[in-house]
Amino acid sequence: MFFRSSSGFAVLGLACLSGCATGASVQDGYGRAGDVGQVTAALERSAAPAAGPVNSSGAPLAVLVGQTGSGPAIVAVDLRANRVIWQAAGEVEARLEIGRSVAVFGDKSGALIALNVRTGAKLWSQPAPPGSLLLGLSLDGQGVYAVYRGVAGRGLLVGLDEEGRVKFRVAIDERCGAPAARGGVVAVPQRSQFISLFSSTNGKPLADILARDEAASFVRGLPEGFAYGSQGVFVASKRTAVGSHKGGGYLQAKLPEFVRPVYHYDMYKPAQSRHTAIDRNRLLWRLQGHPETPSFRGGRVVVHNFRFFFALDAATGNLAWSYSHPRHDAIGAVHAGSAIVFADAEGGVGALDANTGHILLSARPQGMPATFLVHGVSFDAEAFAGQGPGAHLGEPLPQVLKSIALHPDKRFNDVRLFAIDQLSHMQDDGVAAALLEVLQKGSGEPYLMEKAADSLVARGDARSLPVYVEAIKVKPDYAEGRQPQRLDLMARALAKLGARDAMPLLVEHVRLPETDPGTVAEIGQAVITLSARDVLAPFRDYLAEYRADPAFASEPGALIAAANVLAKLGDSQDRTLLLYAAAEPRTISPLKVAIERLLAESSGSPQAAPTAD
Amino acid sequence: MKPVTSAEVQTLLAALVGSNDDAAASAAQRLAQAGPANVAAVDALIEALALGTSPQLGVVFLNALGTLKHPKSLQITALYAGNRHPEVRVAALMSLQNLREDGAAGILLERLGDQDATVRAAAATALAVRKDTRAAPRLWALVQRNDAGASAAFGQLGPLELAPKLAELRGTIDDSTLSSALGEFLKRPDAPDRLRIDLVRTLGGVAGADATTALVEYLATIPDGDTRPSKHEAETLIEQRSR
Repeated sequence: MFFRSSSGFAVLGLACLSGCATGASVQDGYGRAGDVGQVTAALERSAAPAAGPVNSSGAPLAVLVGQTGSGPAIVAVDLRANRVIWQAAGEVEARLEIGRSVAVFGDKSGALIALNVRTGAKLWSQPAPPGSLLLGLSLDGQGVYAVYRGVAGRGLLVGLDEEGRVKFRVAIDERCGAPAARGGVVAVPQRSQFISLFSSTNGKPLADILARDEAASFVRGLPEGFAYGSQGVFVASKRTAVGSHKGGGYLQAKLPEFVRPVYHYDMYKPAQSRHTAIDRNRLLWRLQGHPETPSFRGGRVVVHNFRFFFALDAATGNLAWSYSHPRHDAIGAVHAGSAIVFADAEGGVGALDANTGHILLSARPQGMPATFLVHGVSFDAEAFAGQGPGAHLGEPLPQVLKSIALHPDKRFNDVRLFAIDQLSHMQDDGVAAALLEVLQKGSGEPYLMEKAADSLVARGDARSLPVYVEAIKVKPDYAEGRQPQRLDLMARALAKLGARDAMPLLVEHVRLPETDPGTVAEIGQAVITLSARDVLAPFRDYLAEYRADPAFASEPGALIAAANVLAKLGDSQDRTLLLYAAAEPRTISPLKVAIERLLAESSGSPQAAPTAD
Repeated sequence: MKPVTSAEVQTLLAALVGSNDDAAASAAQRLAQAGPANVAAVDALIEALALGTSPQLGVVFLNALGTLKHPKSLQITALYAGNRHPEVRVAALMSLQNLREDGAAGILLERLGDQDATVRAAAATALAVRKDTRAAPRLWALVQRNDAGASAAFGQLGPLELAPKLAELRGTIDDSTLSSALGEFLKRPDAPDRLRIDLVRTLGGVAGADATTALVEYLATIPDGDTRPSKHEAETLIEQRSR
């Protein structure tokens, strides 16, 4: 058993700037943390895996865990063949990982359970050290590596071969996290600040990476290399042997507000070694370029938010594509290089082209249990490509965003807001119609609708005009299930577009009981803006009909708006009507005052205006 | 009753547009007694409504105008059929019910789509009184939406072939709505007795007093000595329900 020894090197640990643990010192054995030479040599020992799945069958696999009618089950799916290849009973506690010949998970006792990756038959188990807590495990096709906490007051890294034989046991810091293995090297986060690299052959410690500017709560062994971080991603290289934001090799995507910036699981937290909601609400990303000058693959990260996926430009936050999975949440997903592969809560599987968002696969695999409540999923689907059942181009982005904006589930209000915001910035055909549909059919928080409304008006897109004209032709009708529309917004939008020809249709709504006073005021403003003198009759009727209505006494805005229309655009007869209303005893007081003011402001203008109607 | 003279009309018009509500209401009621031939009375009420008044007086004026049944009142009544206050709209529709002009029917049909249930019910009743079968499709749509105010009118105006489909709505709409509509179908002289038997049996399966009332009302419409089988069926069901 190997124990890290202290040495007499100078203190290298630097105070963390953003939430990471205390600095290292010679007393606790991290004296050479961040040593560029050691780190570089250690990383060079780690070989990139061959392209494609690790398992010996070569088939891209998804292994779903959950509950069938007969109890907890593990179901392996060949994604390429779209069929279940085996099903096994078993309750998975620590997330299952897939190797060359085995699929291994942790059970409730912390024991490692290995199944034959081709058949699902149980091959071996390795009990947990007494009193320990399994933090997680990792496979790299050469072995199985697990980290336990609470072994004689320390952490323990265990390495086994795929036959279950122990290769090494290494005592590590008590403040340790789950491991990540990659081609001959196992990385273990320790003290939130270090990524310790070990030989996967014999457990020999090789080097310690020092995360200086932010906590290192995760480490991943990707085909592109090791990556670590928490609020962003340091790509392991000699430049990040001491990880600092300004030192290079650090990536952080620009994300919208609704996105939780979870770049990977917090590997110190045992709960996150299990399948939880974090599986379906996190960022999916891969790397490209040289480790010293890396970038996110394709310049993008993909946000997985329950049933939605959004591919975002990492530098700008701009939306590249989006996908809304119908009916069920995507219970887990992986960025497999060229595709986003996922499984849903009912046993369906899917894949999206990472570049275009096109649907490569959307199917329920043959042989899937009829009743299967999926809790989580693990993948061995590197470089998944090609098209399977259900493949199609998908809906145009405005349609996808519209469907998201209309989603009735309150859990997704922030996502809906994002979708509306994105729609508002798009110039594609159909965006105005989509926003209008969101307004007409949308429900939920008023701020969502206001956002859609503001977006719609702000567009000022002349191509939207036919959409508005068609919309204002529609009148509310209970028998036909048509609710009153947001005519106030359409009035503003039509005014902005200079759509004078649409005014006759619009003002018809002034005479309808369903048109609320606020809307009448907006319609009046649009008529004034466009000097639509030929559509004043409804305003005359409105003024006369309600001038003595006490219901308007506290909110006379619509009546004043009608009077304003007549004062600004009307003829001498309209002035007579206004004078009568101002003088008549039954007229509500605020209207009288307003008319007197309007008449004073527009002295002479009604008479000067051309006679209308 | 003393006839309303032209001179009196001028006095009454002044009261209609004056500031005394009671005097205005009394004037309207007096004008309603003038009869349809008294166009000046009609004009006075139209003018008062056109100049605008409170919702309460608007209802009184519209009722008076409806009593006069003059075609000149169509335009102003149509305007008030779109008033913001449901009680004003109801008064306007009741007034329109008495006008033979097709424009009146158009407004009544439109108001079947009103957002307010009392207004829809008033429109339905008016169309049923006018025996305007053009209302049937919209009434059917309303019944399917469980609109109680449309049920009786639909039973009176709806095509007989829809009666079985109406019966199929049992369980999806309120029993009272269903019973009311079925009861009206039963009373129709154009309904074949075979259909009546089916409807009676459907009502027999509907719990509550509304179904019983519909059966009792149906029996009340059957002339003495009529021995149609549906009568026997209804009597049997009522007897069973009373045990």
